[in-house]
Amino acid sequence: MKALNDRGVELEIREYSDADFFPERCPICNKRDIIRHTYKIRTIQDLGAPHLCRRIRYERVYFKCKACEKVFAIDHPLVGKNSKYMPGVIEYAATRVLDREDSIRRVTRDLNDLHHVEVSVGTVENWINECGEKGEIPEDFTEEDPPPNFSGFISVDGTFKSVKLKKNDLKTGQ
Amino acid sequence: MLATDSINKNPIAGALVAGESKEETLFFLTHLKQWIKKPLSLVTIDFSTRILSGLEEVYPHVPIQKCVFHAIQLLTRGYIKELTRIKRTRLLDHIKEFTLLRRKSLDIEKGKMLKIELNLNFSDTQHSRSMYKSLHKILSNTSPTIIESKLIEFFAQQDFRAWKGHELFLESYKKIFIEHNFTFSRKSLKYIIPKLYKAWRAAIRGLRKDLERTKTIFNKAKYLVLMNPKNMEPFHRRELRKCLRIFPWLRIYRKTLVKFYYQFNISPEKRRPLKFLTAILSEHSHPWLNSAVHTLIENEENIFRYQTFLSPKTHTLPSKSIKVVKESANKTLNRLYRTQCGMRTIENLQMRISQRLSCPIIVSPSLKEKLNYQSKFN
Repeated sequence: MKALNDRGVELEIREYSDADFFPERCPICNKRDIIRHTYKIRTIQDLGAPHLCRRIRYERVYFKCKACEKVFAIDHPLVGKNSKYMPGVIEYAATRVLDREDSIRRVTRDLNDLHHVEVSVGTVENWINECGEKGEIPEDFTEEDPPPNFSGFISVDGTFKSVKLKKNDLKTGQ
Repeated sequence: MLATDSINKNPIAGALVAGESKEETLFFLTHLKQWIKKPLSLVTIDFSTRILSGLEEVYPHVPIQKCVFHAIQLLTRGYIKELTRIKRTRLLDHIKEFTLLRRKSLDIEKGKMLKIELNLNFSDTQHSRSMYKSLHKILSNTSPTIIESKLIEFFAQQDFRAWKGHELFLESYKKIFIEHNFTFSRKSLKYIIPKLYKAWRAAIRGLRKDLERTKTIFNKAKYLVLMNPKNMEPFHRRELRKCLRIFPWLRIYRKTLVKFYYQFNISPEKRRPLKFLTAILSEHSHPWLNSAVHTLIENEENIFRYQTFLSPKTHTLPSKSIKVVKESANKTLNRLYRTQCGMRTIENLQMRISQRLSCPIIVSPSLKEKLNYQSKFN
């Protein structure tokens, strides 16, 4: 750990490597004769605290099977594939936006200011769309499983809200 | 539109619809029926006739329970409207008449008009106007001695003594001669006459202030009258007693409401028909109260039908859960709406609500049509 800047924010660097999960067998020929071939270093941003900036120094290792001479990589259990952010950061943003009713902009600001994660609004929006499974609008419940432990007693109610749609939204034809 | 499991207390499914019409209810309930597959034991709804007609079409043999919370809300909303109407007719119009009277008197003194032409409905304001007329007649004389003698005569009259503002007027009148040392003379008349008119205005201002104080007390009383006796603290009871002493005509409203609340705490055999609610109705009653009372009387069987029920696991449960539409899901939606985040495209709206309530949400074709929605997936 060392001081990062004048504001007293400390930088914490953790090191993760695929070599810690050295594969036992080649995924192609299933032989045990595997060697370390090459590597690539990637810096991944993790959720920090107001006075602590967390970064992951991730070593992406490519292995080589001596038998079939194929080069392959493994999926690290803690690091997302090709992601610049740790899964915890994405989960944090998704929870705040989808469960805690926070706005994407506010969450982005908090991530940048309080958690020292450099991220743009567009990126957070993409995470939310992915986590919220945004897609085609359903007109029936066929794709959903029926509710478990349904008691047979229901209440039906409505609430009225006027929703302003985006101006010039192509999808609404306005 | 949202369907909630009354026992497990979690939202089952929802639909974004263009309005609470029969067609939209049919759309939602038809899909819900196809999806759930299990038969329904009971459906709790509010007093919406459109939801009811849709429900009767999709689930013709399912017993329908009218929500107890909405029943109480319906009556208390009618009460609020009625009490606001009473406040307006008894207090606000009265205050307004005093304000108008003051303005007209100023116009007369400035020479803009000759007499007060106002349709006054309250005896107070009518009396004040007649006092002003008499005062104006006396002060139209030119001789100071005649004015003085006539004023003394006027103050001794029974009519003046009966005027509510006479004490305030006399107080201001005395001040003119004590503080400023005026005596009735031709020279001092031009100072005394405006001060006498001012004294009359001070008197009606005093009467108006009294009314405004009464109005403030009434505003407090309004909410005390509406309180459920179960939720009242001793402090509330004391305050309510004070208010009912000031406004005795509110007793009938309070008594009827307490009786109505009591019906929910007793067994169905002991319950009285809701016809007693008509005691608070008159030909001038607010239409909301009128309609609330009649709706409650029409639906009383559906409101009070279950006091306890057997759960699917054959345990007897208190009926409160099945008798009340779960409003907390609606509150969650309202909170989500207040943040106004991600609510500006239907896709976002559907995603946010579905995630927040943890239940599937469908969108009605009529809403899509209304918004001229074109899916990017087509």
